[in-house]
Amino acid sequence: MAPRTILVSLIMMGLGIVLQTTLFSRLEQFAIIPDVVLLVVILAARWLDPDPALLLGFTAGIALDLLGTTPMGLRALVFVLVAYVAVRYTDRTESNPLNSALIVAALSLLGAVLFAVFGTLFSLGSLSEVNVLRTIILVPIYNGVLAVLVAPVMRQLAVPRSRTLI
Amino acid sequence: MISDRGGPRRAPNISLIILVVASFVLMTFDIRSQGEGVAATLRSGAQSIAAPLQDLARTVVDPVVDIIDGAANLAGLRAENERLRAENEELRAAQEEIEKIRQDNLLLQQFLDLTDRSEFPSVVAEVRGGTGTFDTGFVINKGTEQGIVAGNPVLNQANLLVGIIKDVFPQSATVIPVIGPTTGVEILTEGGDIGVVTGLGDPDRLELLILEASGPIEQGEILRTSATQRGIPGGLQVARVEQRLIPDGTLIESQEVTPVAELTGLRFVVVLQVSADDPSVSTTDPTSTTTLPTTTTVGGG
Repeated sequence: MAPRTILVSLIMMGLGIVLQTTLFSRLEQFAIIPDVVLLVVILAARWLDPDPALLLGFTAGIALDLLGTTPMGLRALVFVLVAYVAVRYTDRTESNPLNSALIVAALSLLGAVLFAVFGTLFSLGSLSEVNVLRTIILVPIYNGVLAVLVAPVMRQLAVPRSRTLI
Repeated sequence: MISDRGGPRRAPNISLIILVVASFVLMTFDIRSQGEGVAATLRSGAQSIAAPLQDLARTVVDPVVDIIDGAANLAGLRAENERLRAENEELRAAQEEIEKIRQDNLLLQQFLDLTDRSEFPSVVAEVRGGTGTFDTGFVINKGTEQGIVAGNPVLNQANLLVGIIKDVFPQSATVIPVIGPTTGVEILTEGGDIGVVTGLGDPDRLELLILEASGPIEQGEILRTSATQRGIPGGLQVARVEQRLIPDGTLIESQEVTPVAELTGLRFVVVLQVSADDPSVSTTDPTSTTTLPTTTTVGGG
């Protein structure tokens, strides 16, 4: 795996965190917003080697936990599990934007459900939130739509060999 | 399944186990340390590192958000667009900038009035935002260096309770809003009954629980803090009753209660630096109230 892939993934993760905590956290008229960091973790996990993919998920999760009010390690746990599923069960060579969007949506759904369950286990009360179902449904849809735009760009930057596939 | 090198991808089982265990250990450690110690140092460090980047990003992001806000309020924009069409672009931009500064000044003046007239020392803080999914909390840019401690009540410019400080760091603090599902605020009805208002994660709805209600609660009644909760002074407006609530025996349990403070668009807040040992708070007299300015409506509640 090229160091460029790791570097691009780390930069995209940083950018995702900054956007998540600035742009998206200010779009308050939308009660539920995309989880762009989870989106980056899912996309990067498809191109990174297995261990770096999991480490990226862990790092991104810890960073978000530290910048928010969730217990340190909660998002890290969710992102690691989602990255593992992405590594194990998605096809690296998949380049169809629609398929990528569906994969991202499915894995985001997994992430949202895991977050709700673990959040409840660790006293966040996520499952008792009124918006829990809307969050679980809308976050994957938002992430899937964003994936159509982000996946090709990220793939171009991270995996230069695949340019002809896009 | 298939890698771009043609072979199956190795299952990172060992890494998965290590990272999952590490996550559980960190979560347990963080929750048990209750926002202090190494966990607090890490949070403080992360927020200190991220703050300049977030500030920089906001200078780019704010115009984008304004555009999206505008698109979301298209009906209002149409009327404003007709008025603005007569003006040239430069004048319009200058006018909007001046208006923004004027609004900020007005808002900050309200906070200054509020802090000057409050019985307790207080500090005005800027809202930095939260992380979104399943996290109703947000971060403010003031912390222990400004005298803020965990449990301090957080108000908006109209003197309405917005939330409670959860974790505090030297230059920042996290706020759990009243709508958060883990937040419970002890309240007093106008009839003198004590209850608890709990967040549901819904910006428009709260849950009210009164075990020993002496009578019905009328529609429109404002529920205020009861002065029996540690660190929270009495008399702060928390919620509004949306329909007449009739006790079942002596029990009132209802979600027909809305928060009085508007949480969307919150840019500044004021933190009341109430000591938990202050004799004027946490009294056994639930009707004890703090001296706070009367509620203003300028700038929205």
